[in-house]
Amino acid sequence: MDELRTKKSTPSLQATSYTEVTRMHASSLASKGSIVITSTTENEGSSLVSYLMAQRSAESGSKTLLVDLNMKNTQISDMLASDRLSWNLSERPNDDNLSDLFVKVKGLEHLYVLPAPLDPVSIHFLKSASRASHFFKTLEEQFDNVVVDTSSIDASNRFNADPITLAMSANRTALVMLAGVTAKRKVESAVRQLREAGAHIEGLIINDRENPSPKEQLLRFTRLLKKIVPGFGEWLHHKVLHNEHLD
Amino acid sequence: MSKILTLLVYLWNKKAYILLPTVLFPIITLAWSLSYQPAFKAITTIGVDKRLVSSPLLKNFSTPENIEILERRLKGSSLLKDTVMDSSTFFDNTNVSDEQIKSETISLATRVQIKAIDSENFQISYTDTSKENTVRILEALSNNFIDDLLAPERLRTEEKLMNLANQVQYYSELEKKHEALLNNAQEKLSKTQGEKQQNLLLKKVVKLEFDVQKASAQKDLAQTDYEKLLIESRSLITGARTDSTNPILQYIEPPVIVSGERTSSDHTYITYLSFKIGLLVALLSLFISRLMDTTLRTDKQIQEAFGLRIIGRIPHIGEVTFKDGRLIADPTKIKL
Repeated sequence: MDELRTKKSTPSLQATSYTEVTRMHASSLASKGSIVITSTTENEGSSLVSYLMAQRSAESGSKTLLVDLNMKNTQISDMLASDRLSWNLSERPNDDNLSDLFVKVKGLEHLYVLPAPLDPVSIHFLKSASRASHFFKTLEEQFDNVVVDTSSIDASNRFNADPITLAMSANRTALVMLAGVTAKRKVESAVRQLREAGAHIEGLIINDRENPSPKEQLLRFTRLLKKIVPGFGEWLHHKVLHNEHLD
Repeated sequence: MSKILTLLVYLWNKKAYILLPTVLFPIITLAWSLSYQPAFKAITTIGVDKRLVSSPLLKNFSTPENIEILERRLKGSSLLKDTVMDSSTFFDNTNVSDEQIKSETISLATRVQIKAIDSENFQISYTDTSKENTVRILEALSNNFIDDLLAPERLRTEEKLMNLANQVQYYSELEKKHEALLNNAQEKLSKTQGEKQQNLLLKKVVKLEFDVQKASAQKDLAQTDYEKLLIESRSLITGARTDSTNPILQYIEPPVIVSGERTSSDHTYITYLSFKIGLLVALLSLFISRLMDTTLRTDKQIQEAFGLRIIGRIPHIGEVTFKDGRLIADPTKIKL
């Protein structure tokens, strides 16, 4: 992992500056179209991945729409849109382009967000695969990339947009998995459901939040050690950083 | 070096499995050991002279059945009650209720044990939480127990003494009677004139002299036996004490404390033992957690499990915030 720092004095950096994010974007959003980002269970990081992909896509010059259909966690909508609206999908004509619902993200030229709907009727409307396909097609006509954040596959909330239906209606699907936490049988079940529904699974995005490599953990330790014993900490940091066997 | 570091990182990640058993458990054990109220155990060994014993119970006390009988007698309520009342340990004043005495008696029964060491010696042990009480109570208990065991012997001895005393009296009276007859015969002899009459009386006098001596000898014999038995039975009649000799049951080893307070080396040993057990538990729990871990971590595991390509891996990017529509990560906020 190469760490790029915006300023030497501040430790923060743009999340999309991580090489891993660039590679993921190149691998999954190389071609235009819609992609559904989902996960097996809650708190696996699907919303974070959705935003990272959308932001990276926008930064690369593609007109990108981030659709928040994660009714269990509307954090994206809450952060980026001051007001959420009712989509009223059932009342709109077929050729309606939904442009009144898009919110441009300030600070990012090519990034738009479609905040989560307030009306349960629109959620119910999207439970039909054909309607969901039409919905995605409408969006794909206006944007280079449509990134859809959904809830987890095991979420059982009847006011939730079904991620399986959305996945089979979109161009491709990426499944986020929290390494070292999510049980294998649960992921197997999620993959099986997606396959049986006919979704095109682009692949897995592995979230290593709870699965740091020994090298990463040692580097974190050496950063702490440098504050206590600077000389020894620096030496150990150098040793760990350049050790080829620790990964 | 890298393997050691990797191992250290793994152990750090599993620190809960290691620290709890190997650190917390010994600490708790040490605290328990330090606070543990010691139980003092005292034992006394009593020897049986089988040549002098007539009761079948004491002749073969080492058999399981007979030792069980002895134990029942040792834990008999009247004996224990006497011990409770004899030893002034339990009560500071005389105003004690029957309930209290009964409760102490029951408690005493649970802390007393008897066992046969060999065919001639048995051992009584007593456990108490007070060091001062332990020997005192065991002394009182074993004295009462010996008294109880010797009761039949005492009865037999008393009967024998009574018989001997009767014999002494009988032979004494007989001697007196024969002496009186002898005096009469001697007087008659001195007054008799004829030779024939004198000879007859002389024979009678000789016979009576012999009878007197015989009665006197028998009286002396009975008296000697009586005095000898009286001396031997003195401890039987007055009760057994550790400082008196008792030919049938004797203290081979008076009551003495054999176990008591824990020393610092005991505490150290207990803590060390608990650490070893904790280490074993830690290793076992690590092993079980490894077995039960059904999560996936490496690319190889994931690809083999699902047959899907890995688009990418996102590391822990730290604390994430929004700024001007962009996600900002602070990797320094990642906890160790």
